[in-house]
Amino acid sequence: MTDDTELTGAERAALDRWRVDAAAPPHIAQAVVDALKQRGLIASRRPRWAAATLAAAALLAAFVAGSFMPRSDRLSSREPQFVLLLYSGDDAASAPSRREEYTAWARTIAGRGTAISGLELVDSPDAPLSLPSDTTLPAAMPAQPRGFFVVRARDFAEARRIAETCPHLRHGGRIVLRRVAS
Amino acid sequence: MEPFDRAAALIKMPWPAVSDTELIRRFVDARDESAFRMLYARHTPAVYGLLRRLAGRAVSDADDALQEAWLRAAVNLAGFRGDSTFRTWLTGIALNCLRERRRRVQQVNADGDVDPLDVRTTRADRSLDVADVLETMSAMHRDVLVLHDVEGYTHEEISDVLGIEIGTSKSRLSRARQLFRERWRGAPAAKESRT
Repeated sequence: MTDDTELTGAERAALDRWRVDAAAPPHIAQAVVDALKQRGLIASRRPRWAAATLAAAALLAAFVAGSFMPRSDRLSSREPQFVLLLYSGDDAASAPSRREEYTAWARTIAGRGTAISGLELVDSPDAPLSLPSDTTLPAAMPAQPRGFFVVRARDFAEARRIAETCPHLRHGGRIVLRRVAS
Repeated sequence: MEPFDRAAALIKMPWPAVSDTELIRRFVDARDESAFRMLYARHTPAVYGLLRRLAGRAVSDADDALQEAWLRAAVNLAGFRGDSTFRTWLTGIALNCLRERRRRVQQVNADGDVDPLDVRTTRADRSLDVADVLETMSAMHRDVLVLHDVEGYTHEEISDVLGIEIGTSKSRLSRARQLFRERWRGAPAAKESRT
């Protein structure tokens, strides 16, 4: 590939912005299942209690798949992991909207087949716990991360592109990107 | 507590999921509906997202291709050999379904009967966005550009799902990027966004 056909930052950003997953209409799943039943490829319906259990399992699987399944087992197992450390910004958006936004973003990333997970980091009531002694961090310490996401990506550049789409940046937050030691 | 703390609380670390191989085995051997629904839930978001991007405004094409792809995949699952991942295999089927749908629509249009869902215009008085630009490109270029630069597929994977040589994938990508650059540069919205 010659340099003149590499995408510019603006072009890549435009394509990234366009990359928004859409949920399939729910009736399609049922139509497929009905068709497979007609062809005898799916067994007839089980008792009601069993159906409810299976539906719950399917919903659980949908959540897991929608949020965390890697692009492919073959590729993801070889891909390095990166941590997106999220530091607070000044923007005080309302909690409900921020919660939905971050969750939707993670699910969108996962929906594209990228393995992603995240956890919150919660301070003790007064201040973060520090070791080796049970003391509080001095006020002059740098800001502490409020949470993180872990993603699998082919390389640092791809991880950066993912991080650049994180809504945390739009709210004035900072993201520090680090590669996990393999 | 910061809003992010509460947002991140919704996102838990993953736990081991049933493998595709196990779900396929349960579906093929036991005609297990739950296994099929799990496979569907796991892979549909990515496949449908790709179909929507390639279908542009012809949303019904994406819907039809998704439904047909899952039917074909289910019918042929017993013959799935695992040479590629299930996702790649399913994606290849879905792209074939979409191409067949496009050909049928083009045939209808060629006969003078326009499918209202497949009217693709680029009006001069309307700003071009990425979707508009891609819709002006031929399918062979658009498919490779979307798979590589939007979906993140490698040329090897594109070779698998489109049934083309790796070298062909690379040359099409090069040409597709040139076309995208020429046409997106001409889009008023793009110009404005960079000034």
